[in-house]
Amino acid sequence: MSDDTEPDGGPVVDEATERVDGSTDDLLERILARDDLVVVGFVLSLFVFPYLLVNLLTQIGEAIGFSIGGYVGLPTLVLIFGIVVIGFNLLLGYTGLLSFGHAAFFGVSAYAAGIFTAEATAFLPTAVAHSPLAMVGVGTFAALVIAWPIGFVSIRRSGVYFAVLTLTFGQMLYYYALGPGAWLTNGDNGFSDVNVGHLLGTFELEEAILGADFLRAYTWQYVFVAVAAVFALWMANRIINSPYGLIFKALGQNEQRVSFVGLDVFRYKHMAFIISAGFAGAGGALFAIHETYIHPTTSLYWITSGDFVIMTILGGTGSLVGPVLGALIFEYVSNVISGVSLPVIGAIGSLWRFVLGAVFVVIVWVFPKGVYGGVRDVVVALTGRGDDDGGEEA
Amino acid sequence: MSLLSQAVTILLNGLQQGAVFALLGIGLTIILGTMEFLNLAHGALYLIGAYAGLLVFKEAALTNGLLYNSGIQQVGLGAGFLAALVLVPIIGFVVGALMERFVAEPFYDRAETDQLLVTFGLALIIEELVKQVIGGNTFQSIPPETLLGVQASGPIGLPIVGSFPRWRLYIVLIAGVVILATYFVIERTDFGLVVQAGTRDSEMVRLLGIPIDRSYTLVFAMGAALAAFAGLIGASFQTISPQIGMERALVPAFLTIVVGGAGSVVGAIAGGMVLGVVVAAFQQTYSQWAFIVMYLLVALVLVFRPQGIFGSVEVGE
Amino acid sequence: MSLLSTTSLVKQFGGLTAVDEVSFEVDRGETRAVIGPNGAGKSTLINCITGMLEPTRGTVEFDGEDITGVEPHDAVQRGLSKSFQTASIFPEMSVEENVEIAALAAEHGSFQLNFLRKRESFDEVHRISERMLDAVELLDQRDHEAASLPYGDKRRLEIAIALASEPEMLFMDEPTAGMSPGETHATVELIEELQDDLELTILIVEHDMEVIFRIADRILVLNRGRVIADATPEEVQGDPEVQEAYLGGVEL
Repeated sequence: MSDDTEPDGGPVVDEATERVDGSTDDLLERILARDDLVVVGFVLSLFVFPYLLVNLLTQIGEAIGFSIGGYVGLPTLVLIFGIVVIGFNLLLGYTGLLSFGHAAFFGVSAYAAGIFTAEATAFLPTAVAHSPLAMVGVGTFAALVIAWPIGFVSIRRSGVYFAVLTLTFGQMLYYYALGPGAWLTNGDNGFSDVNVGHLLGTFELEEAILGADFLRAYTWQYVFVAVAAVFALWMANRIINSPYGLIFKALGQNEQRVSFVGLDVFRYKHMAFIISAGFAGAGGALFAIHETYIHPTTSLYWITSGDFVIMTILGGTGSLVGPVLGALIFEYVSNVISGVSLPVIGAIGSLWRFVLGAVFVVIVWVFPKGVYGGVRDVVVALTGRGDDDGGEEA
Repeated sequence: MSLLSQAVTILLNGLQQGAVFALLGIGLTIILGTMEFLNLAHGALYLIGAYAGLLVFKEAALTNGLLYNSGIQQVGLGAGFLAALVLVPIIGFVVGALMERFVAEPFYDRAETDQLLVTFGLALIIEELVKQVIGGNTFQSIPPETLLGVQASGPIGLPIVGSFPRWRLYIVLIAGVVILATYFVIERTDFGLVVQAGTRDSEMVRLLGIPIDRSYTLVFAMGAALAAFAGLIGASFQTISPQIGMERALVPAFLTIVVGGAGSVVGAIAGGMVLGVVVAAFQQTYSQWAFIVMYLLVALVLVFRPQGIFGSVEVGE
Repeated sequence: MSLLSTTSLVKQFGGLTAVDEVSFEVDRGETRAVIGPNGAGKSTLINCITGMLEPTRGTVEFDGEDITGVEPHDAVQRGLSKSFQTASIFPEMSVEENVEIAALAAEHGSFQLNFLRKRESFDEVHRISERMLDAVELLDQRDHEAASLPYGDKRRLEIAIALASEPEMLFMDEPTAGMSPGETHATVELIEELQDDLELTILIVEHDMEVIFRIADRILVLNRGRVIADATPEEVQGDPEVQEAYLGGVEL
């Protein structure tokens, strides 16, 4: 991992536990610890992300004979779920509340945004009614509106009963959208009347920003979602570094004490719930823009809530960007790797979910901090947090 | 159809569905009560029960999956329904014991959320394993033609309702016997006493010097056997596919113990019946609303009567 | 003028009466001890006052206001703070953050919509946290993870959290339980300092009689939920009913 790093005076103790020198250690640790820098790093990586995922992996795939490259819409999809799980993590990772009903906010927002484009032309200019920005606004608002009562009721119970209550509300909405609500949602046929207009009245979302082939994954939609993702991460970062961040963390560790320092536990948990639902709502509206089709099973069904849980745990609850990594792994594996055909085993097909389940269990078991946290631990361990630790082990 | 006969039909259908919910609920509640362990893989045990029943009872024709791909087109013992009735709970018992030893036990001292997550992961693995090996397609339900030499299929004439599917009536009887037997084991045996005390206050039982830890595997395995049995019963009147563990078992099991009151066997039985009858009533009248009403009922119970309709211990506070 | 008073406070659990018609007053600036044999209802009494339990009957008045049955966070906001019997801290947060959160609550009330404001900008909160950490001599360990502190320090941190709420009255539930003699000694000194420096009113539940007689101005003695004595340490020592309660077969 650090073969090319000069020992720089620090004696190399062992080939296996090779470390870089102390000053680099500190810098690395500081970078990993600095939330603001994580946001900056996230922004930078978004510039290369579509190229790496779509072009580079396709080329590598052609070289080795497997189709492992992402399709053009995949980077966008990853970021959409990234936005959702950044918010989901505020609830699960910080406050320690496990919701099995976040599909409710995701789905309601998607439907609200979609229905808005279909119906709002009656009283708004088409440019507004079909505007992607308006869709996100309407969808997120709808999610916040239903999150208030659902949270108000669910927060009153804890642990598994909280999980069951959130699941219950999500499933009620699912069955409503599927059956009695069909006049609004078109039921099991799905809602396809999603009219997505141009971004800011100018940019066609499906088009690439430039004609060059190596930029083919850089659509206006990607730009739009990427900006939204950066905004979401920035917002989450601000929340974590506000008093709320401290209080959310405290709630996850010792709820009783929070109440005995004079804070209203119920209202803060309620806020954590609503905030996190807002992120799910923003993601849901973007999902409607991306798919231009909404079905109860892909939006409101509890499996979608379960997917949010998996992505978040996979990426890691200990950091803000970790869950985005989880979303990347989840979507990449489910959309790309599932289509890969291996010589002996044959098509991977739906085997991916099995592997995912296994990885998930291993992570919960061994790496409670998820992939991002695990990588960070490994990096810190390899570079030697302190010379003392490394020395003793060697 | 008269109102009375409609009501009785609803009741019979409700009891049949409720019996499955109750079997699931009892299993989940004794595990939750005794070990304070939240098992999201409970539905997977139902799934195992359903498929084990299919494979013991019949020879199933495969259409995809690992076995099919390696040239096996028929799988199963074709040993009859009675064999399934005996073998399926045993299989569930063994799987449950293994699950307790290797998955649950390391998580007893960890956070509730971790327990939920690891068993959720396990549920995904079992579901996918079944899908991979036997295939993702849906199998028809497996009602037996005869059982112990008695005609089990076809309609039976009942007072008030008239003609009613014979097997559906038998389901209520068979499940009823198993539920009663479980009830007596828990009410009348030493083992049951430990379970009862454990669901009330496991700390106290330990302080009294009763080796409750040794009973853990047994309790877990028993809960699993009941879930697997529920799977077999469910499979005898509903279709079988890899999704049923999550959809038809896990969620209803939790709803059952929420309605009945956590940690109470009687509550699980009553909760299962209430849910079953409510669902059956709406399926027969306003079918689109059946599941919405079921979830609404659970939400109302959780909010306004968190100890469950029949329970006495408040939960989730 | 009394700061805290209870009138005929009763708490029943099913058929068991844990607190039975307890009426007492605590004066401003006083250090009041509550003692009694195990199961006398000391902790239940405190829990009824601080909001963890709702009393079955009776009233609690604090600073002239009726606070019977208020939520814990409300009681804290009114100036009643509690340090727990076990070190109730936030294990995975830094020592400083542990105290900061209490200071934050004291400065900003029980709930605020300030989720986009940077925490660094709250100078007053930092000032209070530092002062309290200094008071319990944990300022040097401010960046340590709270879980890594030795037990005695965790208890001190706990006290610092309680203090950072800027209480008028501090409830201490067995502050020296599980401490070594050295730690006990340091904690007693700390309590005495707090009393002088911060003009705190303290209500302390304690088993260690040496500690009690050293710091308490008055002692409330409970037995089986009832008040059997409410007097100065000297008077309590000579009270035959108290001796009976402690020696009469009930373990200390």
